Amino acid sequence: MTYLFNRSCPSHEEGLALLREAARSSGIDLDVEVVEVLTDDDAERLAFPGSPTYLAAGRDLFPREDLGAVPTAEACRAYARPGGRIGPLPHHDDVAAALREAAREAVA
Amino acid sequence: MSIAIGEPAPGFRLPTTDGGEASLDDAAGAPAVVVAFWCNHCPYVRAWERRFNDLAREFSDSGVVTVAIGANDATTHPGDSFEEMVVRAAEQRYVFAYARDESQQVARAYGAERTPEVFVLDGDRNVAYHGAIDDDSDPDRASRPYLREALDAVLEGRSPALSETAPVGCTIKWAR
Repeated sequence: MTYLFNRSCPSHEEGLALLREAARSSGIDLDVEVVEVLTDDDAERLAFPGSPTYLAAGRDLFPREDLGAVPTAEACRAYARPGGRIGPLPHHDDVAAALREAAREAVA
Repeated sequence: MSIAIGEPAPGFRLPTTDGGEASLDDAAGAPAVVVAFWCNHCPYVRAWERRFNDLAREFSDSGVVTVAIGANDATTHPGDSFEEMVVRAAEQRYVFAYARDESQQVARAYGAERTPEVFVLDGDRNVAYHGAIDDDSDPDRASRPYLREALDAVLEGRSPALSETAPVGCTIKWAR
């Protein structure tokens, strides 16, 4: 897994803890590379959609429509949450489900 | 550094998404004014958006004026442009004024750093509260309604028991 983040969004520590907890609860042994996106050049190179972003073997755990925005380092990512809400982090159950799906694809 | 509690709030006159202007002068006579630094794209703003709109609606009955100010640089964050602010305000049926601080001078004058970040001004337009709307962006976990408590206090002529909290949100996107 790769965890991309930028410090302009205060969710980055909680987001990483969320990933680890979702993996633990799913019985998945994770190797996480934590990458801080520092510059707009980094953001462009990584096609960074905002902080935090979870990549499994380079694929976004929460793929979204390409809105054509130029990637910038100081971008916070919005996640859909239960009840039609929007928040700075995905729900634990959604992370766990996405991790399980990614694990299945990895062994297929 | 933000303006200190008890200090006079900087004045402003800014264009709003409804085609008008927002200014502290126009709020003369209001028992309190809420100035919130805001934007479209930030997930923290989105998370608090409905609660903030509900508070603005509720306290407008007591004469409280609420102004949200979008100051983010639209070059790097086009979703925060004035045109997109107009769309957002209409879509979400904002009951508060949503004003554009294109020069970012108002955000700098207040010393704002994040969105959302709120300032409650008392009847004399001194800062009575500065910080977060409540204690959690997740409404299911929020237990301390900072902004509500501050407004209740100001309307009763008291100082808020908690006058300053740490705003939690995205950094304001300054022009480079």
